[in-house]
Amino acid sequence: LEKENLDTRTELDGGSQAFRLFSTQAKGDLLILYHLNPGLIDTIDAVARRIGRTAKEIDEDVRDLVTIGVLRTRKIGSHEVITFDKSKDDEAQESIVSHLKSIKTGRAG
Amino acid sequence: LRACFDLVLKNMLGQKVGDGIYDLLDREGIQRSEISAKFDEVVSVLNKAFGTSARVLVHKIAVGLYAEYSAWPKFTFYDSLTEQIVRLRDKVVSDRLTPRHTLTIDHQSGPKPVPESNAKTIPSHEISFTDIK
Repeated sequence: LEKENLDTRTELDGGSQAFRLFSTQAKGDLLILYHLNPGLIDTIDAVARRIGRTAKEIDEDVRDLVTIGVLRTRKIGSHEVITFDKSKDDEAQESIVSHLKSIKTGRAG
Repeated sequence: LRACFDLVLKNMLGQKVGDGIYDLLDREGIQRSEISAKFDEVVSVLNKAFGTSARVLVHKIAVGLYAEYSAWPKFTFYDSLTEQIVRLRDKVVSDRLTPRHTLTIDHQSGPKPVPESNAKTIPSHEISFTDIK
């Protein structure tokens, strides 16, 4: 699974990353949850409960955040757990900041 | 509104992106102190930067603002969010709602003066030295 996650991770530019990173409410809730609790290691069902949703509702969003690299999945015993990748999150933030800096403003020039 | 905006940016996107957004707003001629007054312009800058994802941010800000005033957010993700913020502002004025995290004028100006008639009924731990003559 770990290998699969690494293989499916894609390099996105800041703009695309920004658009995908919080494109849904569930992704926004997941980002808030993991920014406030970066050490959280839990199953998808438990994570979903923490943000007031069901596993089915957040499954696609979790997969997308895993693809971006901000979240990772690991197998602990018979359980698949979701963890936060702080370094990838920092990279994503840097990438978004670069995107923001590249935006031409109405006042420019 | 500014505090909610700041909190959502920090918690959802992190400090670096938050600072990047403030920098972008500054370049667009919107100072931090003007975020509440120019919120429509702030939303259009966010739309320009993040496209449709900006709606997730604005929705979180609106929900946070309603929570701050202990008001129930009776709107969905797809309603006009800036309209909901204006509606809350009207409700705050008409119902005299106060935010949860702001000190009242009583707290800011020290202990309340004790009226002569109520002095005996007030527990001793609430009476400060300034009340004893």
